[in-house]
Amino acid sequence: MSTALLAVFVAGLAAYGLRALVLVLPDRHRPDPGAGSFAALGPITLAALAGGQLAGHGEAAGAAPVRLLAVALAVGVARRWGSVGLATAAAVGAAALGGLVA
Amino acid sequence: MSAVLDHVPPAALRPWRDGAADMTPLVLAVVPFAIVVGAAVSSSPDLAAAAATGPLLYGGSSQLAAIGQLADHAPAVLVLATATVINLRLALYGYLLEPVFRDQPRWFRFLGPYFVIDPQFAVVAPRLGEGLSPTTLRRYYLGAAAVLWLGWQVGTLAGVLLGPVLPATAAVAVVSPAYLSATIGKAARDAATTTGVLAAGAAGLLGAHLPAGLGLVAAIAVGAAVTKAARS
Repeated sequence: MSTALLAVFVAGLAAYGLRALVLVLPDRHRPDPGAGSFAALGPITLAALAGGQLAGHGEAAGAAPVRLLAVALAVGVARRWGSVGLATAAAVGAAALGGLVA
Repeated sequence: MSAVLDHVPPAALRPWRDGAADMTPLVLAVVPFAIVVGAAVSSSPDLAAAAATGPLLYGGSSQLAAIGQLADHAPAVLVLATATVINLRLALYGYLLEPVFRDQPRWFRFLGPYFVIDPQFAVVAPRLGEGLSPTTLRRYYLGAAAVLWLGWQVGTLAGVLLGPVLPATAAVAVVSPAYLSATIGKAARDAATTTGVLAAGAAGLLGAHLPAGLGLVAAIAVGAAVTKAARS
């Protein structure tokens, strides 16, 4: 096994450990799904992830505003019609059009 | 296969189908990202190690980081540290999804966490407050997980095969943030959470280029702090 493959294997074990970490916590530290602060952490985490991905890496100048507008469109479509699939498709279509124009 | 399914009560299959159906739009959204990861795999000098990130790490961001570092011949300890920092959010997802793993058979408590990743969290978390039985929740979770896992691996394989001819476009770059934002935006929330969500998104955007994935962790902390301040 190469060193690189071993590093990936150990990183995979670490990733599993993080995923399963909660299962070894004592009961008193388990989450309460009904708590307001608990419920807020989910969307906050997704928003932080989306923000990071929105920043992109090394695209052409002009791509960032197109992405921002496309994501704003996705949020609007999801709120109006309640479909994540439709919202994502609309954003991708808008980004494709915007990429042609920019 | 169909003979086996004939003996399964339809009610037992329904949660599997529901989970798979709810995950399908997200799979369509993440496949382009999987193709990008596959393209990175195909250009890696250590193809075996890069390909192994798919089933072992099972997370696009950490896979891309690890593949890039392997290509740069970074020390193994740095590959491990970077992937772990990027994957810190998985501990949070696992924590938030813990009710799924309560009162479940041992095999599921071992296997289930492996599938914890952003789309899985986005699909399953909204079902936690619906009072589903452990069995129904487990079947729903596994139905969603199976579709996502297969979609991700097939998408990655497509990227390995097609990667060299794929252009990097704004349309591809927007898929993942668009579906995450749509998932958040779909549900109405209280003003304090909405403020925290916006703060987390802005902080994630501004901190995206911090080293070793620290921007994500910092953005979550900012969002949580803003939400708490808005509530008080």
